Amino acid sequence: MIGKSSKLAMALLALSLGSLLVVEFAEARRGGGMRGGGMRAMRGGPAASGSFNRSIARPSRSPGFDRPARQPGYSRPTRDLSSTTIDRDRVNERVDNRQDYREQRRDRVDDYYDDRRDWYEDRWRTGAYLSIAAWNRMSCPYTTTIVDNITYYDCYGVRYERVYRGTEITYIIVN
Amino acid sequence: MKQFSQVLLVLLSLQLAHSMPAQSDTKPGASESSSAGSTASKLDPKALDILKRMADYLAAAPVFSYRSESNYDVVQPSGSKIEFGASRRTLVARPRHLRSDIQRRDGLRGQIVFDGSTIWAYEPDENVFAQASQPGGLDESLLFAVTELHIKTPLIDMLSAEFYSRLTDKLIGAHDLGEKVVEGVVCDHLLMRNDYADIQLWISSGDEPLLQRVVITYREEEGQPQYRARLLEWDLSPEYKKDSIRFEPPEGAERIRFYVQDADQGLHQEDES
Repeated sequence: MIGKSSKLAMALLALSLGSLLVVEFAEARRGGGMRGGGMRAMRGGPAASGSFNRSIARPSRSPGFDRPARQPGYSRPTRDLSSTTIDRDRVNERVDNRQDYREQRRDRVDDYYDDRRDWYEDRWRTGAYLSIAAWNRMSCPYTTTIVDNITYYDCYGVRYERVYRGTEITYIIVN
Repeated sequence: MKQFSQVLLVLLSLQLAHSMPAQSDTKPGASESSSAGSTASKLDPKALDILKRMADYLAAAPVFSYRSESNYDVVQPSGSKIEFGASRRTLVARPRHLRSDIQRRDGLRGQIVFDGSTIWAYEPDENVFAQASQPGGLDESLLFAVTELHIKTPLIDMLSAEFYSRLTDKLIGAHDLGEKVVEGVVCDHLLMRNDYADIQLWISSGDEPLLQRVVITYREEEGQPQYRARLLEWDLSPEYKKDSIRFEPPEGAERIRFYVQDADQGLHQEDES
């Protein structure tokens, strides 16, 4: 005889298993553009380079991405307080405030670079371009416009350009 | 309450069980590293000799051609690895010329031509091509094509006249694993380890020391993906005329641009101008 709690546990187990499978499937569908199959997959990465060296397998990212390095030899100027007679508590408080301010500023800078990194990675991974297969799947009734010998494809109000990207043709969004 | 915590415990254990394969993806690599790590700092002179002989032999060849059957792992966001692959027929004529015809497993075809002054990339199925100036000889042009234009050109180090120095750059281990037979060809099996990858090479023994097979394990990358290639039909005196490595855009072919990744400016055009 199965108890009520056991039934509940089994139901939850089944639900959990099901949700895990759904997550796996959804994750597998993210990214890339495999031709012909039902599942899409990312197709880039370091192993695609077939190179022995890191510098080629993982070419450096674009300028502006890395956190700017401070100039060598740079040090923050400090004030000499030894010859000044002031209230020690007030000095400590001011130092604490300044440290807080620096930490907040550092946090803001970190956030900025994190946001920029996210933006960069999102742009790289999703949305900004389409594989030929994805383009074809859209069955888009596009029109073409030629500007400076470049052909642009207008589809549902979005302008694309066909480009050569890593040994394959890709449609990138240009507006 | 007790029942609820039991259920939670079961769910938690299920979640842990699910996450185990993802962890085990990295663990074997770690143990591999540590097992090979005991000899990691060894540079076996015999292995280096075999490597140098092969590299010098190929670097001295003014013209050569070969076919490659390659495949590589791509680690998906889920942690699964999916294999992709391509066949390539490559003709190299030093100091500036190259032609590579590519057939990907998904059926797409492509062609890369360095005609001495221009890099051409052509996709016959779409009848589109892109072009950019060659910045110099073969080595510079290959590096430019891979790092700036993001053209996938596996094993570019092998095509370089500096093959040996590139292979031995940042080397932390070189091991001779003895003779092996690769599809009927007797080979010396080597393991090279640099700061980034483990490289297994099978080099034919005898008078023509040529690379027959290579497996690169990207030890430092998540999921430790591999690149694997079998190199076939080596020819160090192929029929070759300079005119055979040139590209004429077919009638009606559309010229497109290379996509050059740049966070701030997006698209750049690589032109001959």
